Amino acid sequence: MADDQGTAAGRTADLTVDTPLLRRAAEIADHAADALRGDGTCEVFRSPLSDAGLGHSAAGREVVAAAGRRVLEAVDGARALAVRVAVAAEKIRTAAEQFERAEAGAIRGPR
Amino acid sequence: MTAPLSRSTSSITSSSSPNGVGRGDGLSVLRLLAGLQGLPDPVAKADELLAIDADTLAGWFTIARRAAVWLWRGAEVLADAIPALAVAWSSPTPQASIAALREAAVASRTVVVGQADAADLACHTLTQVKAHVQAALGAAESAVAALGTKDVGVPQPGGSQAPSPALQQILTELTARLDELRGRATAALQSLALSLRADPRDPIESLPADGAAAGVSTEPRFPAAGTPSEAPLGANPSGPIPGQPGPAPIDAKNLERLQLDLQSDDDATREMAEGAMASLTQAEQAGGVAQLLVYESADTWSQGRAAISVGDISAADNVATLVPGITSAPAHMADGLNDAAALRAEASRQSPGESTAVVAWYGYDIPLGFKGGVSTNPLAKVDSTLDALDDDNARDGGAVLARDIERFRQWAPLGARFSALGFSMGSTTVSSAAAQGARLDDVVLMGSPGAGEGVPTADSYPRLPADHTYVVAFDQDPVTQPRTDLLATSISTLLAGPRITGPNAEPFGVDPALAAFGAQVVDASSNASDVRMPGSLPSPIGLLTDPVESAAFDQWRAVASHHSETNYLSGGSMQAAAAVVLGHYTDVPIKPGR
Repeated sequence: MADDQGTAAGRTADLTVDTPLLRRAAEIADHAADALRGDGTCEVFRSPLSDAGLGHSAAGREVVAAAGRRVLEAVDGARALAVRVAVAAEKIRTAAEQFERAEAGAIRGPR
Repeated sequence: MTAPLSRSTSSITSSSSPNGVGRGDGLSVLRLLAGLQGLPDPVAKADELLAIDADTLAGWFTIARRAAVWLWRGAEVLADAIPALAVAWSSPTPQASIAALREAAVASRTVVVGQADAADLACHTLTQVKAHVQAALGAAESAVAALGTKDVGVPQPGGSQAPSPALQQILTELTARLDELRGRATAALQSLALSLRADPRDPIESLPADGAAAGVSTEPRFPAAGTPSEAPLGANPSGPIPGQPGPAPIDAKNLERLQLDLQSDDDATREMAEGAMASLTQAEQAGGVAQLLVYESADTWSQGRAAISVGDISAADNVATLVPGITSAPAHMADGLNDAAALRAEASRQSPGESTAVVAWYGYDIPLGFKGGVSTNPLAKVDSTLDALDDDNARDGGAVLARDIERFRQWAPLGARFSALGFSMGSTTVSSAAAQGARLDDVVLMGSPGAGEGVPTADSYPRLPADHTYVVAFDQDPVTQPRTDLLATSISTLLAGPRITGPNAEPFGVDPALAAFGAQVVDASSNASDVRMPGSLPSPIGLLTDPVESAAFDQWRAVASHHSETNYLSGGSMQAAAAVVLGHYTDVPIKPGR
């Protein structure tokens, strides 16, 4: 547990950090990223809908085009979010590491 | 009104439905009756509905359901991280960042589930409609079978007989029922189409950049691969940030060539480079990101080639390529870029969540390009003038456009929609590109003098279904009328003599606005005011009192006002064009062809 006092622009703020718990939060975020990746495969989906599969009406053609995109975007969205969550988890872990190093005196504050 | 039945019902062969179900003579009688009365074939109407593949649609959305589950599980797990962070770190920023990620997952899931639910509902309705269609056909078949020979109105030897009121009633009821069912199917699809206009990635893409995700930034940020910098345009409009490492932008080589041309001793080469530079500045001001996707130097024989994207093609959901008509030149792309920016703005207005890049493509040998371009030699000017009299340059340009679109596809995201819009000779070029296999989702032919040689119908495009070809042709625009062909043929004959192959009645090909062409003709009016006001013209133009001269002047003014790219990309026609670019087909008003 670190309990530091930092100064910035003449103001003082207390910062309380529990690094083991931070690492635990990072682990949870990793699990979230796994969940967002789904089955973990990089399966490539392809719309099976043919252009006239829902008839020749404007609505039918619009649905074919839009459905083809939106389903893929749903998968892409989840995968993109998984990447962001994984990055966030890594940053939390890095922050925990830096706090621990600071507490251990590896990083010296300004004199 | 009834017509006499002149054929024996027994001579009509039975048909089968798209589902392979056999049809009996009863339906054949009804088809014959409808045909004799000039009414639509009820069985064809039914088959269109029966061919709707609701099961495949439903199956496709099971993948969306899977993604929704991933998003839900991810959100649930992230929820556990928030209290842990709150205890672990007194700063509110990290938990806020994780909370934002969770909210994005929930919001995205809401969109996905909404769309999957809408798809399920639509599939349920469509399946019901198909069952009702089968039932209606069966009922009609049985009803006809139940009629006696006399009631059917079968012709007797020696004379014909009008159909009975009972038979007429069966046809009327079947037609009405099928119309009602088609209305239900269309309404279900329209509702689903509206639901599918939301992009499930929007909540995720609107999150702050990764560096701020956990409230800490441990490394410098660089431009993403292939993404040009959005730094203010200078000597290198989309190059990497000076002093920072980063991948070369997609247009790096073109920009290098442009830089070299700015120092060229050749006046034509330098003039074009200066023009392209000014165009890049204009495009960046309009679209935030400008990319020089095509650049080939001009010289004393050629106007060169250039294409500039207004908006980032590497992040675009929709990429529209806009092809100008005669007298345009790559050295002066201001008008084309204004139209490109306006089209992009309209697309954004109609679909704020989607990103659209519009490429002003000055990539073919544009006839009369010297009028607005760099100085070329007199022989080149004569050649360019003659080029305006037929579709030769459009056909050659079509092949180049098809190749360029293939390159653009490599820079764009995988699922991006591609459309090409051409004005005047540009429309002939777009049509030729589609005929030569350009991979396009839609084309829009505006103010077209013709679809080009070898393109008799909209079915001539190997990779583009006919109903993805849209035509905008204002009635007041003389260029879209047959007289343009006549004029071009006359001048061509006068200047170059009769062709060896004989006079070509359609030097620009078939008018794509004709009903026989088979394209979707957009119902839009010219945005320019009516020009036919002889006698009210100011002096010295008003001196043109001779009827022939006045008519000629009217014609000239009509060309100048109605036949302009900006006129076609304004008002209702602009809205329709943007809807096509977005794939919002239900928003495009259609009318019968000429």
